[in-house]
Amino acid sequence: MRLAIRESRQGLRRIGVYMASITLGVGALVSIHSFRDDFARSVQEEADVLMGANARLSGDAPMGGAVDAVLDSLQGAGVEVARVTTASSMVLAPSTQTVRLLQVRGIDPGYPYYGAVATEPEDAWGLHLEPGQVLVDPAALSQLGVAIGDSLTVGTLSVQVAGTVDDLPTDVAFQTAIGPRVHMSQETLEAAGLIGFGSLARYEVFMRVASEEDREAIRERYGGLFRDADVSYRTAEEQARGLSNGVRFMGRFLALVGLAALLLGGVGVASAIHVYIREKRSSIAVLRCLGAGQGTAFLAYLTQAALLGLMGAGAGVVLGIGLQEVMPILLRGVLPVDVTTQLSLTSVAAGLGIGIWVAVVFALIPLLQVRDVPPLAALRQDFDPPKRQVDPVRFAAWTLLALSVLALCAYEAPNIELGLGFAVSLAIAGGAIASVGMGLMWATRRYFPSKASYPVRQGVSNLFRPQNQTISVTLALGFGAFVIGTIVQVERALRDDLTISFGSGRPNLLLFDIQTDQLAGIRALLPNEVRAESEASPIVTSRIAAINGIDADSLRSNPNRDARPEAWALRREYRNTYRASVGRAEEVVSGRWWDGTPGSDDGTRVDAGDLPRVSLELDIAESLRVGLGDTITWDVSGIRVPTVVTSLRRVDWGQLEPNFFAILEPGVLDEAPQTIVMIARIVDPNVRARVQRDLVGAFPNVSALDFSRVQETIDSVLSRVRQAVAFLGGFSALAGVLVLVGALATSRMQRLREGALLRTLGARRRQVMTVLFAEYLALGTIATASGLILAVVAAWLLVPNVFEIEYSVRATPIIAIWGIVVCLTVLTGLLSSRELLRRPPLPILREAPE
Amino acid sequence: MMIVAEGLEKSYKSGGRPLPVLRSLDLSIEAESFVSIVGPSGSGKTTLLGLLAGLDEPSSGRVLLDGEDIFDLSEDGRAAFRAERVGFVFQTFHLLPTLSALENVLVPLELRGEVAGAQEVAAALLERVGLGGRLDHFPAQLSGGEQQRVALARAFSNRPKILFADEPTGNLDQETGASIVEMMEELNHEGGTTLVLVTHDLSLAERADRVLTLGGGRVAEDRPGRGAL
Repeated sequence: MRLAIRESRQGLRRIGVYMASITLGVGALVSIHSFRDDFARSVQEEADVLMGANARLSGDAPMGGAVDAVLDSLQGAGVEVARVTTASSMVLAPSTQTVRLLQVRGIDPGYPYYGAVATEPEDAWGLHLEPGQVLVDPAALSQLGVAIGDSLTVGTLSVQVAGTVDDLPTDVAFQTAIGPRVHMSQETLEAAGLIGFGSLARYEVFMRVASEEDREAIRERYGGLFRDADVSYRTAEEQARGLSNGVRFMGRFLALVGLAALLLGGVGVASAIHVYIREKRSSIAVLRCLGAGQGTAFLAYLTQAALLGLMGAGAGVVLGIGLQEVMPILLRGVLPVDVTTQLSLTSVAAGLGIGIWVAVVFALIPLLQVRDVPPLAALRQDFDPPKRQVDPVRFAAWTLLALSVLALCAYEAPNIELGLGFAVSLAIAGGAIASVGMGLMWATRRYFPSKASYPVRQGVSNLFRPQNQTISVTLALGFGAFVIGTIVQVERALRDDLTISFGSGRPNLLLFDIQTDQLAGIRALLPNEVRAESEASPIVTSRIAAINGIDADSLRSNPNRDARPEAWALRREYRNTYRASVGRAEEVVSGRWWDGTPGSDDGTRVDAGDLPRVSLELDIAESLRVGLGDTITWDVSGIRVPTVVTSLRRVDWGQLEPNFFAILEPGVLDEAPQTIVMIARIVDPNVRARVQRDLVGAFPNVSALDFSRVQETIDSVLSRVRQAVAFLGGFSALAGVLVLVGALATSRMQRLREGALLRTLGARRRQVMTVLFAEYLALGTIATASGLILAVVAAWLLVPNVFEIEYSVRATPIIAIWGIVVCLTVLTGLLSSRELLRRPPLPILREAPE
Repeated sequence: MMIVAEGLEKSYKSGGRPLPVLRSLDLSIEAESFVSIVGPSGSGKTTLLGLLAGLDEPSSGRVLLDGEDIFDLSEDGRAAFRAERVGFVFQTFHLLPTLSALENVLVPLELRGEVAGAQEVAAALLERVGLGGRLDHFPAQLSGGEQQRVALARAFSNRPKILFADEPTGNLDQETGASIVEMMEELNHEGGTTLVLVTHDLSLAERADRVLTLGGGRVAEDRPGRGAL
């Protein structure tokens, strides 16, 4: 130990930079681990407040008789109950003539039972229960251009804005992103006439139940009844667990990113130790001459690495504790609770342990060189002992490294499979970046023009100097470029695809909840040129009663998993349509359309006999385990409608067309209760706004969705997601830059010596600068190119296979990333060599002996 | 006079206090002569050589090379001056590890922008120092003596008016060292180069026209060597 400390006095400062990358990785890990714990604790503490109650029922339809009876009896037993109904509706501000699609909520007194609602003016929560009064989210005011005290038209009713709801403790992440809300009493909502047949609404019942046992008793007693009524029952504890599980999952992904930064730091440590040991060769040989055994010398240096790891990890823990405080501030607005921070000793211990372990295990392999330094090297610099043929110790060190990486990934990942997958992907990405880098280096050496000016050739050839760190820098910078490059390529592809979906020629206005008798009136509201092209589709809500004569309940209990339809597909409420022709965004692939047109893959003709025919979408047919010729019996408002599947369609859901799982042939459902959805394309935004205004005035139950606003929303969500992921990618990039700085620090002396030598031989500053510039430019280019080539390959694999979008290379971001990384490399490099231009050559040559 | 030093002073900082190495040193060396500088360790031999070549800046005093005050020139001006008129040989060879023997010899020519015929000049010089068969070898593939011969060829590649050599044989065995010095002498005679040699080796120093001994920061002794006879 004493030997280790004494031996480390010199030269360690340079390795210190590498330890900074260990610090960064450990900092990320500690902060993410601690934050995860903080969040889970805060959510559990606030479980009741987050729900606004301690149990909740929710469904997509009014609760119905059986559930209402249960609620009545619960109320009788002392359970407090408050109903909340939420619907989407067009809201008009008469003063500004602005219309927006908002969420309208009818709320019973009492809700929320827990937590304080922050309002403007203060203590305004409760005013929404007064007739004709509403409270709104602040965003609604700005979208409609109105202020507190102004009136709004909701449905058939004129109401007054009594105040704003600035903070509802039950708001979970992104809930308000769907649309700002208008809070009112249940009575007001009913009076507005918004909850009618077929309208889309969400029904919730919030309950305050005395104890956890009572809440569980309710589940035991009424769980089956709730399920049959398609109502879900959830306690506050369950919701809290769900929330913290979600964040835990996200936190584990974050931890993997932190781990990637840490492992990059490990690569840096390995390459720094390699150079360090090379430089220490003569010291080691002298130690050996003085009688130190192979093991003593090896242990001395291993102890140094462990001490450095301890320092790096210790600093990382401090950084992590600091970041832990910053995390809730960064994520404010996205998180459902105010997260309080607490020192998490397990996180600190884990960070410290992992940091030291990574430093040691990565240092081990280069440290094995120490064993190979013979005492004779003290006398003869160039003496090289014969290489070991098979070295079990080296093999063991590599195995230990591989196992450590696997174990760390498995420990940090959400589950073992993901962890191992991550480790393997890391290895593949690292190997691929290094191979591409080596290929580029080879090509550079082989094909670099010999006619180039001397300083440029000298700079490029410096990449190949003995003990160069070109590959480790390539790996570090390349990995950062790879992560960010992939993110940007994928995000651009998604964004471009969206722009096409919402682009010219596509419908941009969707009208829904239209009643049959309103259709003519609504058409009349549309401008003439739009009217002809607007397309109306009837929607008939139906459920599946039976398949091939077997009723849904029996199907559900089929023990044969392969034959059993998926539960969600069987239980869901279908919004079916009927029409004569195939839609724009779909294609018949199997069977035949009503008119006999064969599908593209197979034109099997199915004899339906007397039964009506139905066309299913491919995926839903698979989920229901049905094919051509099978019968499906639909329950349409209590009437059973048997049908035969005569065709299967492939639907492009990405296109904004009214698309359906099931389409019936015309003539069957024409008389069934139905609503109508209509799409139109109105280019002029002013006309679009006018149509929406007129609509609210004449048909308050009809909702309109303006896709240009939807696109804005999706754009902003996408860019928020990209920012979040890029922030994480930034960790890897930063670790990459640290490795670069470390590599430059390690080879600084060599570079200074070469520069000073050139000055001695008569090189001017500009020529020396050109040499350095060429070296860093080539280094940055090779490193970035390796990462970016891989990023394009990754995007080329990901975009079509995961997102099902065509991929073409986006050149601009690639050039931008290349430019940024290269500028960074050149700048860092020139800064680390500035001494060369400032000082005369002799002092440098004397300080930097060979 | 090819080299003139007047009132040359240089001190380094040591433990916060200035440590004078050269004190008001005066010196003049004639063109085409061979002068060796000797003295005990720490007497300032390498410092003097560095100042004469403009590789470091004096605390005070001036140096005239070929009639030009080199400290009136900028750093770049001095570099250009060296590229034109000065050659250098170091104890530790200082070859560029990424360049072959031939490329190392080419460096001064390329820095001067001399491209035409440079390869032939460099190859001829390597031939002259006995390395005609090892043009494409890298420094790591050469022995110490061979590396120093490459350094010598490099020093002469720009046909310098002055060649400074700092312990050129310090890392070589006696025999190899002697052959290196012989080569330096030959090149010195052929090209009319002024040769300034710093060495510990008194027998080597004796081969010069003049032997200067440093002591107390000045030229303590100035006597003719065997070369003058």
